[in-house]
Amino acid sequence: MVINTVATLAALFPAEVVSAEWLRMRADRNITLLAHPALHYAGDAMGRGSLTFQIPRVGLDGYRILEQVADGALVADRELDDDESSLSVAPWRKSYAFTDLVMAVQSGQISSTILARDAVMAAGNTLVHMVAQLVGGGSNTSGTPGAALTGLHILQAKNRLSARSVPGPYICVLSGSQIEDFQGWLAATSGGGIQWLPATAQQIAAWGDGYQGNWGGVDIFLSNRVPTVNAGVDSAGGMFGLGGICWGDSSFAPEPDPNIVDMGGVAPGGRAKVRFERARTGHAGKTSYITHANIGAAEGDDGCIESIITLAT
Amino acid sequence: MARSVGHDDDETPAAPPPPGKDGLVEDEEEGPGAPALTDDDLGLADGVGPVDLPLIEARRPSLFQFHPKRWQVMEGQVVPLLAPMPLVGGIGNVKALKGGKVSIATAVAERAKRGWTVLRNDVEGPGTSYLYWVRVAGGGRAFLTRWETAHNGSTVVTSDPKGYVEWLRKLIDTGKIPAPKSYVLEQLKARLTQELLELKDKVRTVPSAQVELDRKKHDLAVVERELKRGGPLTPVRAKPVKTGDVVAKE
Repeated sequence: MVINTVATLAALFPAEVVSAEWLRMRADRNITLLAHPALHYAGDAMGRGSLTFQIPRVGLDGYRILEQVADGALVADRELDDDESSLSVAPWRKSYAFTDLVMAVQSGQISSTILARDAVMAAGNTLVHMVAQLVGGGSNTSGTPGAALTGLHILQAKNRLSARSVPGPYICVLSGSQIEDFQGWLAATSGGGIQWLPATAQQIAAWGDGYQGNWGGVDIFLSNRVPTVNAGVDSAGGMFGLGGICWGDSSFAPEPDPNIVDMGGVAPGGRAKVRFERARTGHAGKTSYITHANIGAAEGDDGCIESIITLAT
Repeated sequence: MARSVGHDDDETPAAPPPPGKDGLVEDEEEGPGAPALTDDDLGLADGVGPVDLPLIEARRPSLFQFHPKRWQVMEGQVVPLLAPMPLVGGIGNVKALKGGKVSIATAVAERAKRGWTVLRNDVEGPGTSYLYWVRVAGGGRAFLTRWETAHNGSTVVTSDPKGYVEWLRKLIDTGKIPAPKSYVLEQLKARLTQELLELKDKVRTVPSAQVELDRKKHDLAVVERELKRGGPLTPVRAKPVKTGDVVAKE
């Protein structure tokens, strides 16, 4: 007896159907970390004549106290304390190319709107990637290489930043394994004097998926782009206050081309920070969607960074 | 590559399987000495072959950088805690050039102002390298240090900390990295002593902390040994202050 089944009637039943809603692949999406007051925005290179910013630090607002002198004595003129660091902006791009056939056949997962949204988020995530790469490179370190992260290490970093008069609030960027160890320590200790304030849904919506919560006044973010050190044994996360890490960008000059959309991105000022353009290659029957951003980040005042080096696995 | 069960495309279809076997090819032998089962035997329509590339993300290279304040005890030795300097344009004053290359001149100068020394890839000498690269499954290359090993078909990267520590000690012994100053070792000793005291309290209620306590004692002994090995500090030359220079005679 012949039975018609789904398997035998392959011509009538497709092997797979795409579900109506799609899921995002796992990634660190922390773009609103850029709005945190601990990150210093150096400025927009557009029209400045150089891709390199010099970020001055000046010893004013009470930096030097008065000098005691005898009555009638002259006080010597002194030099104003100053220091500077620099950062360079570089072009960053991403391109997706789709054939005409793909765009015709696909059922709505790919559209220029979706790709434009991806463009803005990718630009923000790129900057967060830069911050994560820099935070472990401070000359001052807390934590114990080879040992799991505990709250004592975070407290140590915070206290050391405070002792160096680094203005708060502080931001702490840690790797996934460091966050895991910290959460484990929190669960194991009881009666701690500092309460852990986990991220609420509203805070995650405001700060991004990577925001973990606040502990002792320090906002803690997860980024798996934090590098490893010691031959991969340890993670190099860190904590910093204002002036520790600086970033800058360059807006795009207006381009009267209907295939180019300039978007405000996430920086202050609302200028065109992310360029999303559509480029057609007719001979290949394909269209490329290209994202451009010009961004850079660098360490500022090394004393405003406290790297936290602890076990990576 | 999909493989159909029981027959190849160019051959006549295989005879239907005997009742009860459900398409599985009958082996002549059974037991531990039998030939390994093939995808056909398992009734797999699609072959599942090994992935011949690591499943890690592509990553750009990073050079090591050394700072005289950053020291640690690792594998029973006092060694520098090197930091990575990513060779990516836009990060830390590295400038992107044409052809995918980067310029690190500004980056090196900025770091030198803050006391960092960048260790070039061939710090041991011409023809040597502490970096290597592998192709990865997602496309592109991942740059790793000599003491990290990526594995095909896996996201795991294993480490060789002993080899890394030996290399660091060799750089110190050959003068490529200056030995730690005694005041830096004193700070390290103070930090370890404090951690040891905290662990002595902790171990009263958390017995498993004994392992960490023993390790900390050992690390402290290593630092004390290193302190004894180093000579006295050369103080900065200064003139002694005479009281009469600063206090008026009354």
